[in-house]
Amino acid sequence: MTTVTDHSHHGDAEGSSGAHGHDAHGHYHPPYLAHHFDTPQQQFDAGKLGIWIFLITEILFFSGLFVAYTIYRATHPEIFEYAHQFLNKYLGAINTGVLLFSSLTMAWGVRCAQLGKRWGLVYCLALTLFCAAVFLGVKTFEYTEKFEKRLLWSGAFVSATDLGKTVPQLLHVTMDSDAATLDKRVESDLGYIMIFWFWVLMIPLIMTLVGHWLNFRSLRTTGFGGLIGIVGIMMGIQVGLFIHHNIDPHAHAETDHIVSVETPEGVINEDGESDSELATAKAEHEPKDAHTIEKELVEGKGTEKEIHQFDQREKIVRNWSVFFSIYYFMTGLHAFHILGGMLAITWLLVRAVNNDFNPFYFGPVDYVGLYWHLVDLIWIYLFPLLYLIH
Amino acid sequence: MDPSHSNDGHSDEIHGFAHIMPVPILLAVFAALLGLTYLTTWVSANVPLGSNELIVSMGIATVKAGLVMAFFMHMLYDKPFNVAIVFFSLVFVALFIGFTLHDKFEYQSQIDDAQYEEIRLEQAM
Repeated sequence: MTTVTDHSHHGDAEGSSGAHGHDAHGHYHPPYLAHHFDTPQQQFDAGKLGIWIFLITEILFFSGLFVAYTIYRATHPEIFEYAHQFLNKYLGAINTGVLLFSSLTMAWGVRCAQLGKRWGLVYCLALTLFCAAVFLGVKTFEYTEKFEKRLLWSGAFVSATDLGKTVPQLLHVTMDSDAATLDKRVESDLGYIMIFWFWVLMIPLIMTLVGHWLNFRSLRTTGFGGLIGIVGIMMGIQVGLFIHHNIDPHAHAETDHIVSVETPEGVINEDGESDSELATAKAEHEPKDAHTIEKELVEGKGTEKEIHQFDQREKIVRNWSVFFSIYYFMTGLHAFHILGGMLAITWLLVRAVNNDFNPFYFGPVDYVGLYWHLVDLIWIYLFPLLYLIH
Repeated sequence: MDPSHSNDGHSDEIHGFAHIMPVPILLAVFAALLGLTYLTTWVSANVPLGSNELIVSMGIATVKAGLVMAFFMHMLYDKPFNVAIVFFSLVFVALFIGFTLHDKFEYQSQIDDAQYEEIRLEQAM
């Protein structure tokens, strides 16, 4: 092994003399070879072992969440069967495809780095970064849509003492499933998010321009990476909206899924527009809490509206929001890993443009690549576990 | 398995110390991954599998994970020690999930009691 690896491409043997590149022992060290390594191969293998050990801690880290998922699904399958209908499996599938493509470009980038193809590596890294951002953009759409439907984690709206009560978290389903109003709200939210990103886009734009004027290559590349990332997120949001409008997996949903929240103080509803009916009802009668309504229904005294609401509510599974606790924790932690990967890929992009890598020094590309594939692997399991339940 | 000795002038082996994945293999693996994603989504939408659904979708996911690990992560060509530590981490994940599932209904009676008590109190109101 060592005979193969010792052939430094500079052709220098141990003990040769020169103006630079020697350590205290007189060994030739190219600039990319750290002082404490004898050969590029030794350096590469040490780094590879290090990244594998890090990835193993990541696997074990995520496994805690997979255990939480498994236990809840085993003990409360009805929660998962009820809640999965709120996830658009086509958005999940398109995100899987985007992430798989980014894995391909990352693996191709590693190949380019190994062959010393500088610009091939730069293009592959830029594509990987773009796909990562598109993934986050689609997730932005999904989270926004769920927020508007109040499909949030357990206890998002209630005090801790209300958790696990038979009446599900003081939630009730409103009479009319007004999907159009809901879509308008989601689009308005996303409009604000797009405007936010548009202005944030100015930061990397200025970085790129300043880097260009000052001929400061690293700043210019960092800014360019930022541009790719933000444009990718904005395009991902559009992809999410497009799929949402054109492929509707909920065409045959069995349950109304507009949820508003009733607290002891009253009904929380974004603009108060759709709960006017409820407000009049409240003005006419004494405000009733969920328990009173339920009791009246049992005694056969409920109004028609209350009966309908009760019927709808009966379809809601007790503690359904546990599914969303797990959903947000798992996908959120995964999204943080995507963000971390984007930072690492931007760093690689800067170094690739600076021509830091060569066939004897491509370790960082390989290590970030392994990390990126692991993030992809976790999504490969998250997709069927969360989106494809029946 | 050890490509470091195949420094024979092949264009993909211009140096010795790591395996370089040929482009056709990368593209073939990507195509297979996309195909399996399509398959698992299609099956979920069109085939009523009932309780076997989880087994099928996890099986497909595992095949995909295997492809990514073997080719994109170069595990087929990695050092046996690296492959072994990853393998054993997965063994520990299996133990973690398996042991925790072991007593999943251990506390069900207490949960049932608590729920019964809650309902009893509500009806007494």
